[in-house]
Amino acid sequence: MDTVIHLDHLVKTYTSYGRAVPAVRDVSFDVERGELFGLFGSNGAGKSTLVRMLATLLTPTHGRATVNGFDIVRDELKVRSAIGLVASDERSFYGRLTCRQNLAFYAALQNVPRSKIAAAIERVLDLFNLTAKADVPFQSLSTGQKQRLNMARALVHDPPIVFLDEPTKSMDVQTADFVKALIKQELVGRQHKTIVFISHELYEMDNFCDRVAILADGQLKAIGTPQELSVHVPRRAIYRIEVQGDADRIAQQWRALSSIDAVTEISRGITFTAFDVTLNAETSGVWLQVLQIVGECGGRVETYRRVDDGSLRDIIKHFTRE
Amino acid sequence: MTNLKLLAFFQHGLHLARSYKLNFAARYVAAFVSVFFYFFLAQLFARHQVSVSPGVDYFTFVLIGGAFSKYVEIAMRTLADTLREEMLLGTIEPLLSTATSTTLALISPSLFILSEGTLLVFAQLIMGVLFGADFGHANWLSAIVLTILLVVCLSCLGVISAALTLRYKRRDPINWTIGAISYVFSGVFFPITALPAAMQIISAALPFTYGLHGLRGALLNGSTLINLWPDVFALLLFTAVLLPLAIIFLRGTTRYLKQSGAIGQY
Repeated sequence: MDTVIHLDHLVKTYTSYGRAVPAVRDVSFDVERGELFGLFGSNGAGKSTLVRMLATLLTPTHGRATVNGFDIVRDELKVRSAIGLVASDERSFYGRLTCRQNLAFYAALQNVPRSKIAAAIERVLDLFNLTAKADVPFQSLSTGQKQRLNMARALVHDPPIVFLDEPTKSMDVQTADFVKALIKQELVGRQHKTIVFISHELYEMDNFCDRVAILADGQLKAIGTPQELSVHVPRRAIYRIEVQGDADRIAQQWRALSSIDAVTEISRGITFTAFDVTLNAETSGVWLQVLQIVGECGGRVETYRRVDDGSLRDIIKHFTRE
Repeated sequence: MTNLKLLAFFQHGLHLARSYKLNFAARYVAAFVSVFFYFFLAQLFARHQVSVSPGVDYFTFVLIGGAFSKYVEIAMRTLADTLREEMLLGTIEPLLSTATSTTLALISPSLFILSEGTLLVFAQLIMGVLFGADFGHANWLSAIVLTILLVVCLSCLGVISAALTLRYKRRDPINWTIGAISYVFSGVFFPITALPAAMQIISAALPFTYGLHGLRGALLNGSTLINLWPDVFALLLFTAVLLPLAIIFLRGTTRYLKQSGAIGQY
């Protein structure tokens, strides 16, 4: 594999009123070329600080990192040529200038040859469905359109690596889906760009990123594919079961089983009662015991479905808990 | 590539200036109105037989002072104000994340305003000629060299002001004060010899005083650079002190911003 981003014991400590405030603590990992890499953490976890260091906007306190083979401190201009950065602030444009004028300015500063600027602008405007807005002042765009222009700016010089810091923030669901499909299918799938996707929203990364790094309190807690990370999580499964019959007796018997961690009543209707049953082992034997108890109590299972699928949410909860 | 980027900054400044149409027009109107003001002020002085020095036409004298004071405004305020506006717009971080050197990215946003200021200075001088200003003896080579020296010297102060604005996120009061003082003590409207001796010390400490004195010598009397060596030397001396200071301030501020993470904050 070809490593395009390499972090080697990266540390960032801010100083506030003479007090050291660690933001990133000894973080090391690699990102491979063409990877859709997720960087997840809650607010204040150190994600944006990490990305700003990689984008050369911040100097690391200790450690080193390379982006596209260039050192982020010594070769900052070469690093900046190789990256596109979408910061979470979508208003960072000149409001009275048109989308085209804004993009032309940034394209020139990103070393796009003068003769190719017009074509580069058309390409990114088309990519983000903004061609009709090309000659509209930025201040007239909707919030979602502004955020799409933000992404268009990051791609106007066709960089091999793109950092997306909460790119779908302030977008409606349809636009966010459109943008995420664009990232996965076009930017990663077809153009083979390396994407670092930063978010504090779990649903953004589920079934989207190739690998995910989990940051909490400035530390790297875990890294891997969602499948790899799920191995570290204790095997548990939660089923929502709707039963007919003596619901209290069934619940009491379930709770007596050592293979059941919790039984939570979700709703009680005239005929059906719904429970969330947490199994501490995912084996057919345990599941059989659950069903047997319903039968023994003279009841009947109406419906059941798994409500927890070993998703990223559980994985993250596991790695970031105190 | 740097030239192309400078062109991009110039075009960008022009687009921005034109997007504020009334403001854009007002700057030109104000420049021309000020020539009227100098003309009628000179008429008033002439009526009362007030002369700044023997053989010197007051209108030409004040026109040179007024027109070139544009550079004081640009150097002292515009550079810092432009960066302050970039911070308010939130565009400073995207600017600094491009493949453009930090120094170029911080200084170049005022390129259009500096160019426009130069255009306005010469437009005012040309308009002044229509109102009777006398540049018949002018030594334009000396004037151009002095203008370049003056712009470089004052821009160093502007860079220091911009660095302080970036660091403290507020207009720098020290340079603003120097700018305001320059109007009074550098001889824009009257010769500094009209000031009490104690106040002339303040004049001697201001680079614009020497620039203006030299420019008047070149434009009114046709003085050569050799004749004007005290002014040229003073400007070079100021530049020799201010240029390293400007570099130190800008580098220090850039380092501070990159360490503190305060680039995007305002």
